[in-house]
Amino acid sequence: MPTVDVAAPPQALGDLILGLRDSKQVLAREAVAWSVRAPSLETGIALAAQAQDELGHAQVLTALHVHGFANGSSRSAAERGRAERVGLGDPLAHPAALLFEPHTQSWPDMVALMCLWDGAVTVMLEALAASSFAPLRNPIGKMCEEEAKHWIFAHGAAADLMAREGQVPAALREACKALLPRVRHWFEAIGDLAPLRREGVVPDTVPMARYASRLGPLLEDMKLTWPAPDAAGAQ
Amino acid sequence: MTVTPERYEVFARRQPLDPLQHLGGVTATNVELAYAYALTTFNEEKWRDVAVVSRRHIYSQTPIAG
Repeated sequence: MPTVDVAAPPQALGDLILGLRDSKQVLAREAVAWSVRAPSLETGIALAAQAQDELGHAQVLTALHVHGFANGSSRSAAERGRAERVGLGDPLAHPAALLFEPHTQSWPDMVALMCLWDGAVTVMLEALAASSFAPLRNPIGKMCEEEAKHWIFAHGAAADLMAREGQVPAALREACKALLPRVRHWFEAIGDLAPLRREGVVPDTVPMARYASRLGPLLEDMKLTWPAPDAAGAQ
Repeated sequence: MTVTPERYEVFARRQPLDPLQHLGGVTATNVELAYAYALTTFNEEKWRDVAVVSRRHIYSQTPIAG
């Protein structure tokens, strides 16, 4: 894989960094909200720590963008409008993140988000950690280490809900079932790495397939399957 | 199935050859959650290794209170 010119990285990479940055920020917002109404104090502490991690990742990705892309701070009017509507405000929102605006009304909703969307963002980061664009590798490698801990938490929280009596397992299943097509849509909007592969930024990789494979056992436990392409974009 | 929270003891060390040091405990319904809670509850220092063990796996002639 050729090395990418640090002085002139492709704009598609800048867009991807912004999309991931804003996704991190939305995840942090949800984790903060749930940290003070979590099922236990220890869960709240874990969520607060996760929110801090996600905000730290957002900050690193912002710095990468600002230093790597000359027009990094520019936003279109449409982008600013979308940002205002979801309460993120300019200049923190990128359309790729806003394709996926979560509403976690219940704890199963939040656990589903932690498992499905945070996992999706992580898979995209892993693709960038193998990038030939040197400024990405170290910071994103560290993010991936922290995300491995988030996954343990998310998986443990899902296992906890699945083991409970009554309607709780079904609530988690329904939350995941509702999220899956939206995650797929998000992947298809943000996760097309073909232009970056052509530019030599990332090695040949299929993040969405890797994600579906990683998620397989969890989905199997819930008797769910990764949605077919024609379900993408469902809200 | 009833989910019963149980107590997990948390151990950690700073260096590979250090003995594991007991840090305290967390309450969780499964070992993954216990580990996640341990990482965030005892993060005032940078630990190289963190481990959790369910208290029911600790053998003692006398009950371990607390």
